[in-house]
Amino acid sequence: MILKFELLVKVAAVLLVGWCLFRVTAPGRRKRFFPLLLLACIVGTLIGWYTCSLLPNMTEPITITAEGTQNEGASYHQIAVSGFSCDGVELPAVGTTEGLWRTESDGLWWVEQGDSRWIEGMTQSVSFQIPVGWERYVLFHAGPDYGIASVAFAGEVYQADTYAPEPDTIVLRLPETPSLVLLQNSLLRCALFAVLAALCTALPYGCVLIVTDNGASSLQDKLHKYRFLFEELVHRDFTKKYKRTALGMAWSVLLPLLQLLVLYVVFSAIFASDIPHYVTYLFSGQLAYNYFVEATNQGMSALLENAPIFTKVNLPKYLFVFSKNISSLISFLLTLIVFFIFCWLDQITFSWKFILLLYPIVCLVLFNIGFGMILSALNVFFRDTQYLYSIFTTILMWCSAIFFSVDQFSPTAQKNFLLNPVYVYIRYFRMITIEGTVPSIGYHLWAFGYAILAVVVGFAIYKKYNHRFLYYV
Amino acid sequence: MKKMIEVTDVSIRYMLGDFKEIGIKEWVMRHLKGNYHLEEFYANEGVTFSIDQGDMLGIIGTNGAGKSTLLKAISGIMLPTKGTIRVNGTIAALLELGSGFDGDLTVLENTYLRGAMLGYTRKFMDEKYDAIIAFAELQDFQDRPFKQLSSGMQSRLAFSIACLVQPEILILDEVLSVGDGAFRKKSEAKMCEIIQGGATTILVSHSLGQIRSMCNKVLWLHKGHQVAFGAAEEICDRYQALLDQMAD
Repeated sequence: MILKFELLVKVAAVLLVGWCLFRVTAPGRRKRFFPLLLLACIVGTLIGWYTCSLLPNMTEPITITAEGTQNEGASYHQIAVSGFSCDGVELPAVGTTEGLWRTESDGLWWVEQGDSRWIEGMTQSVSFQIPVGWERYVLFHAGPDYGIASVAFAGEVYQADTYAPEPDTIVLRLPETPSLVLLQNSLLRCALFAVLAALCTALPYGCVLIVTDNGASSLQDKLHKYRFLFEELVHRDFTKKYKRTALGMAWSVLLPLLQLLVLYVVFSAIFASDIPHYVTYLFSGQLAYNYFVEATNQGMSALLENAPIFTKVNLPKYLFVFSKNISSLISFLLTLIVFFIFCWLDQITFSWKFILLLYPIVCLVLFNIGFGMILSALNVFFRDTQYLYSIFTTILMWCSAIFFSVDQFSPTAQKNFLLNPVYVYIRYFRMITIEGTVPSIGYHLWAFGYAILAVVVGFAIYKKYNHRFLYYV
Repeated sequence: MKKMIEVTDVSIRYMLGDFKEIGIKEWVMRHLKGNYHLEEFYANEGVTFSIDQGDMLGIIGTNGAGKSTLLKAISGIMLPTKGTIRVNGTIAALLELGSGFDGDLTVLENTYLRGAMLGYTRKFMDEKYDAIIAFAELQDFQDRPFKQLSSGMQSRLAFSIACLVQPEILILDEVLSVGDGAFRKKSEAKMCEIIQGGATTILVSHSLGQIRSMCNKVLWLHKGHQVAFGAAEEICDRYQALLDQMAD
């Protein structure tokens, strides 16, 4: 039933997005653009669906402990966990193993060594995370040598006697997840699907609308109307930034590389032994942090610098912040290419999961735009914002775990790091490149939440104070 | 006759005092100490008039009369504190000829930038670029940085770009007085061309001769208050009389 609910919500989300885009298109061109809109919706839905299916569901912890006891008929008390079955999907037994648990080709084995005695001080338990669902089983290998295990799950402890006269499989049924949790998981999936589908539909369709020649008056017309102005502003900012510099745009790549070199030389002696792939670890932190600082610093001065213009010419003021962000985006993309080169040099395995890096990049772009707008407004009202901001960015650097690891902190402290949006995006990069894991759905929504919050607040401030800025300049 | 602009009992207020050029610490401290003073300054009070399609309105008054502020409100850059302004049609406002130019960019780049700010499209600029440079007589200076031009040349370029506008409503704030005598004649002739092309125009000028020859309605402002609004001849005579009196 929950699956049907999920399907309904997802279909509703896609229809809503499609309808919004339809309304945005100029009335005269709706008929012509309808097939294109339909295509964009289908593509967005497929991408959203596929990406959502890649992401893991919410998980619950389960701990299996070897009791070191055996059934009377058994000759030994080893335990072998062969895997799990969750709603028909077979999952291998992959858990955090320490002590006497060994990973074999057919599962996780607990076997004492030496005498068949309980060895004090060695870990007899292993923990797993299994996804939420209805029909879930733990599968044990059974046979004449196998003993008794206890399974701790959702506050209850179950006994599993894995003795069987002949080699066999023992199945232990786990209770189904409470409906509320399943609903929560479903809602998160739907929310993320809606976000992805909306982004993948709206972005290409929006670009097509802006680029093609205009029709009757509407939002599309307004965007097209300011396209030329926007291009000219970007051109102006770009030219001024690199005018009379010897290396021009190469500086945007060279500077981060030099910083990386210095940080690596200084900190690798202390941290490299604890953190695998330290170069990638460092670079990923620096990449996101530098982009954030550069884009927001440029955005902060955007409004004040252009005061002579907007006090005399009537144009939308957010264009100034947008154009400053474009030049930072381009230098970020150049540095990203160098980042991938360094990943390859650091022997990181490239996998299809790297495509998911588009998500934090898009979120980071939106976040920078929103934050830049907020800062530029603040800078007009309070002229010392730029000085306070440099203090803020220094503190942010220390809170972003760029060159150290958060593992040395308590779990609560580690969670607190996630309050820093730049750290959220840095960690996403590290999870995909270094750990090779895909972050959970909740993590995706958290990352997007920051971005959309910044954009909404930024636009709200601009809308409210639109006509008051000029009193302050 | 369609009413192009309707201004009803408009007052525009500036806030002066401690909020400008202030840092966060100062702001908080002043609020805590009760030392935060704001003053109101009404740049315009109770201005009411309306103009129809094809009219040419001249706004006259001594310095500080609130002319530029009123124009800013009409073109949408400021919001009136009281009253309403209703505008029917696209506006091209030339409040300052030199706004938007950047000294470091070349003349070519600046032309395109200014054109973009006036609402032109890239195609339009490509077509008209040569005509613009020819009108401003800057053919030899196209690739020079803008700050290397003299102020007269800069104004000529600015005017040249601006006179290509073909809006429904045109607003000019003292822009017809740039350049030497020959250029002034050229620019006046060009403006007349535009106005005869059907645009409704608002012109601010200190030259009564210009106002008398070009405008059919006049608005007289003094220190933010409306002194008179009506037919051009009569009000220009009254204004001239007042100026003569003050000169004596």
